[in-house]
Amino acid sequence: MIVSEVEQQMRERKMSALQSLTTSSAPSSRVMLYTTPGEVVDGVNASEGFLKGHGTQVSEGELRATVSGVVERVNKLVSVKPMKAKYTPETGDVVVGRINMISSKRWKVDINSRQEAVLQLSSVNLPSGQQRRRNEADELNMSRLFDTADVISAEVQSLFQDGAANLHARSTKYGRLSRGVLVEVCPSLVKRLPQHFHALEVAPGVFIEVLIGCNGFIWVGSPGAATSKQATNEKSKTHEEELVVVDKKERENIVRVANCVRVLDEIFFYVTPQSIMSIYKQSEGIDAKSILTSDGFLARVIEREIDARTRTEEDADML
Amino acid sequence: MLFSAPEFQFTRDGVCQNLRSDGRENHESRPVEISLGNHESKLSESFNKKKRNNMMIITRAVGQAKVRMGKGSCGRTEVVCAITGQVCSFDEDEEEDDALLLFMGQRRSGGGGGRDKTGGNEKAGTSTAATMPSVEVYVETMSTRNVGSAVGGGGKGQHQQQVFNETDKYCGELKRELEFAYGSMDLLNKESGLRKSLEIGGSSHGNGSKQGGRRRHRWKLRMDFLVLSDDGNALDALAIAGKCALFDARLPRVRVKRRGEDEEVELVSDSEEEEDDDDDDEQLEKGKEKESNSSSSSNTTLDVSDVPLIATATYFGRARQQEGVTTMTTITIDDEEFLPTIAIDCVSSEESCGDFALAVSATREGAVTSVQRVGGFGNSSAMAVESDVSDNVIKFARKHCVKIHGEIDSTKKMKIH
Repeated sequence: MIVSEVEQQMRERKMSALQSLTTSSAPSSRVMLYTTPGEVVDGVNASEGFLKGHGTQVSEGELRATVSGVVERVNKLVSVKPMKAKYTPETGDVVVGRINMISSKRWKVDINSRQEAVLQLSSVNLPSGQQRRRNEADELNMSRLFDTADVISAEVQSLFQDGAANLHARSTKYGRLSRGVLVEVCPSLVKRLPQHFHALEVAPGVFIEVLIGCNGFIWVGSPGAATSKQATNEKSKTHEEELVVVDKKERENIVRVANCVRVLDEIFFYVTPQSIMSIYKQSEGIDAKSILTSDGFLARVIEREIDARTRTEEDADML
Repeated sequence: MLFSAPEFQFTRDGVCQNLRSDGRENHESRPVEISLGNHESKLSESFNKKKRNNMMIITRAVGQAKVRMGKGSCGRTEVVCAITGQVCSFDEDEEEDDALLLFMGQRRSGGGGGRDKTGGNEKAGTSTAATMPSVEVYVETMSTRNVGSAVGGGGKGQHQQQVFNETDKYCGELKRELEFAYGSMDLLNKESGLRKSLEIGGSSHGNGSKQGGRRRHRWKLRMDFLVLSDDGNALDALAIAGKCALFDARLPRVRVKRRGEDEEVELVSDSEEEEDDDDDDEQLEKGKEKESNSSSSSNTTLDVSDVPLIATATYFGRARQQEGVTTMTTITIDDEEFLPTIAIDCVSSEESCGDFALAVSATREGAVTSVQRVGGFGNSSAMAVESDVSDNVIKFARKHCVKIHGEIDSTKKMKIH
């Protein structure tokens, strides 16, 4: 609350670092085109002809952006991908979602996208792994599988005509998430990777599980919170397992990793296991809560990133 | 807010272990950032010339403050308070109306305009202090984050209506709670510092000409609060914003000038020329602008020493019994014993896990001026709370309240010099 002179300096340092990050260190190899709403999209030749894609509009014969973001071109199709937007599901994405409501034979899931996603009862496995019997009792017991407000992991199976996602959780690795905390970041910060379940080794032999959902929902929890669900016959048993008290040491690690993810969102860096670990390593020596609040720490992180980027650029020049 | 059973348990255990999910301990609040309207420009001038004048958001306000708790896209509560003044006159023997008038609105996209001015009739001087309902048009889903779980059902229009109602209800709640805390401030007490600084001057022309039927003048303040983003504990942030905006307020110096009959009382701004304008309001506005351009030393400041702040403490019930681990029954902070499961400044996810929350308003000296139970959350079985538990919660909140008072005071001192 009290802004001392040192803190003020740190804040300025952070701001200037952020500024130089955005201006100077764009990789020279591939030039990104940023536009703001209303701006004429650069490099579009009207005489050659173009196709207007998402995020653009033609006015007075010129192609203008309607959102602020990065220009993407595929042959003649020009579109602008917004920097901060809702998640657009694609088939195969691993997502983390929250059950919004239960309707007949399906769950409605909030996955941070424009429409609610649908998870059909027929596209989940029973926790015991056995085949589901299609009867009424089964439908009535839906809330015992996933109840309203539960956080689950799932995969986008297909897309409906209107762009809503049809999810499935037909593998043992998908299901309800527990013993951890949900962190929300901007969906554009999550890259699609071959693997979205990660166990980060925060200390030798100590793991924290992180599930980076493509929709910007990230689950940070203790080992086994997201993956390796034990297939047990009794449902109640797994419920009990989920409610086990996380001891303080483990919680400290979870909180620290969660704050690292929050920092990445704050400074708008990609959220990958590597970037989380890099922040985590840099944060050694300061408390978990200062990761978020200390401007000095943020300044150091950003300056390091600038260093790294300029170094790779120099390397590229050397080659 | 939707919250699953595992998350609920995880959050509660976190409080029991004195480590919440953003790394804070139970007695720690999020870092509070305050920007003031009248001071900020000066402050940043001294630090950085580029950033000058970045704070004057509400140009018509005499005082304003923006308070932000927490950082990032999650865990951030941001509120703005703007103060506008109005001179009202009334007969000496007339019943006095409230000096403070609270007004609350939640941001809605596109709903910027359409806000009525108070039906302020200065000449009448009677209590037209009824708060006007805000006229707002659209609903922004971002701001409905805390407004219950607006789960589908029905058509789209119905859904929006539901969200709209919930938002209104939520704003009303905050307004009531804030009014309650300020109402206990005893503004009608003549000895109150704030009240004194609102009085307008005895040094008027022809003061002693007529004793009977003399009219008195006083500033009437209107505080507009706006919740920009809400992730828990909006009430505390509002109270801080309110106090800081009052501190920030610079009322133009006016004096009473009377010509001929008593009824024709005019308020003349104390600036260089004495303008004779028939419209009180307009002239005041002019005066304000002039004053704010010239040195601020000629403006009157308000005495905010007895304006309370609010601290909301949430009680999370007893810790779960864990095998092999003996849970602590009390913790000690500064030689005072507290129950281990009380947390201050909860984010919205924590708020929905608590048993009950008490908003305690206290002055700088630590005098508790009001206690109220806030929020519709918590389980109803905790309605009947053991008195020693609630006493402990109040004590905890009071301690925190005094702490923020101290922090704000030191901030203010720094900004003046």
